[in-house]
Amino acid sequence: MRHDFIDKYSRGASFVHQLDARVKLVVVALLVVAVATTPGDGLIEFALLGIVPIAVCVAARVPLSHLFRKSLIVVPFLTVLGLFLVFSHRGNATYELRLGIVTVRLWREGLVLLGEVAAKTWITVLAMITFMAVTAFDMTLRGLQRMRCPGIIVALLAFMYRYIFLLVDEGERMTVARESRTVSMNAWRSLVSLSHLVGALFMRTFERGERIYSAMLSRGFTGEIMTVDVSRPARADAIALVVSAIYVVGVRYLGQFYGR
Amino acid sequence: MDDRYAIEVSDLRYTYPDGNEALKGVSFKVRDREKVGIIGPNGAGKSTLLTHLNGVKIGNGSVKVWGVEINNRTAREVRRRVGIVFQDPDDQLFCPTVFDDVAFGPLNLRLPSDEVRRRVAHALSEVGMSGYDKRSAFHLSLGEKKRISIATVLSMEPEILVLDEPTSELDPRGRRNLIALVRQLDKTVIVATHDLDLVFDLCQRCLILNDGKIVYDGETRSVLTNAELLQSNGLELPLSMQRTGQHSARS
Repeated sequence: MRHDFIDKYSRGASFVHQLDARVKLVVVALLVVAVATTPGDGLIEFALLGIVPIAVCVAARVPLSHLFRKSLIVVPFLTVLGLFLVFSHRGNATYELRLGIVTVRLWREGLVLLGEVAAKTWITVLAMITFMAVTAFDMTLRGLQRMRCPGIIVALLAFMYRYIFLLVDEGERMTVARESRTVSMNAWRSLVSLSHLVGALFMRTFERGERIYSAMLSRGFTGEIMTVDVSRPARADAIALVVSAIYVVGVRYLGQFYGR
Repeated sequence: MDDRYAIEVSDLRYTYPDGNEALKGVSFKVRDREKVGIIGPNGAGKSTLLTHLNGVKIGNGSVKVWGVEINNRTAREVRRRVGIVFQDPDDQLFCPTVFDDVAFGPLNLRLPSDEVRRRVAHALSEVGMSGYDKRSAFHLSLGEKKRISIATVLSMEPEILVLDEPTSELDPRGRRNLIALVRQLDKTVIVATHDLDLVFDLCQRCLILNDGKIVYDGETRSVLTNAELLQSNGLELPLSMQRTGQHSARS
């Protein structure tokens, strides 16, 4: 079955793709921290930080449609959060909406806060999507490993990347098999059969885990995941890291220069 | 000339924790560079037997590889010499890229990086999959995955290759390519399957395993013309042989 892979463009040949994964991991981390700590009214800062993922995508020849389409994932989260914020955040000014006999009050502070949260979340998500689109996943894993990320976490990520779609496929096949034997079913019966399906999927996954472990043992696995040496970081990596870091940190402290 | 056996299994017994007696006293010997087929119906114990050949499972009785008995102490060395390719390539290929999968064995042998790279390139070219090293196994066809599964074991340069159902679920062309690939390997090969055409093509000798016991050990040619023996063990003559008229007497 076909899946819409989030890392569809990660095997590109641009200079952004060639950079050491550690450089990109550090820049993403810096960007996220800078965005998260920027004061809510720093519109210029948000614009200057938000342009980074977009510029990187352009430089890496990743279609912007991919970037924006994937970033829509934030919409449901923001909607739920927004409902809480605008209706519950007490403050001074309110907007009143009259819906028949009900009057709904939108709190201005809530709206401002929602705007800030939306900007921060969206830029962060754009940064993550861009990172995934310009870094091959095995390079990310290797980068994490070389940054002394615990081996068990790297292994977990590696297995998840390898098996998540296999699991989805298996679930889809089982659903099709279930539906093809279902003539009519009320909600309760359907729930019961769904729980059986989930249980069966769990058992299958468990058994697959056992078989994978046998295959690992049989190729001499002793509990430690080994990797080949990769090339040392080049000068381009150092330049990219320094330039991006200066830009991101500079933008973060921009407010202190135009006096706020 | 070394006259020790490549593999020597004697009175091997194994019972699963749930009480299912999978192997009930299996004995056989395999010579160097022999290609042996193990055939039998589903649930006969074929896969269980194979996992004993490099010490992933250790049962009662003995399994010797080049005269060395497999136990917890020798299992690591034995796994270098006996490579098992499991039936489902999605179990065999568990790394993010093909390169990582083929390099997994050599890295566990603690080989230097240059040697690992050389072995990966060589193993991939041996199975005709050069240039696939950066691909993710998820995006490959089943035939490609089966070939790369074999490469993951060849890169350890084992002397004995053990294949579990290598042709299952392959389309005819994929199957033909795979048989040609295994035939040209200059190694001891043990194949467990119920694809009798494969055994007929590849192995001079075959064993029939049924209900945890070996019920036949001899020439492939004579077993594959013995319809009665095959049928009593849940197997059937290859279609190709049914049509050659040798058994036209069957109504």
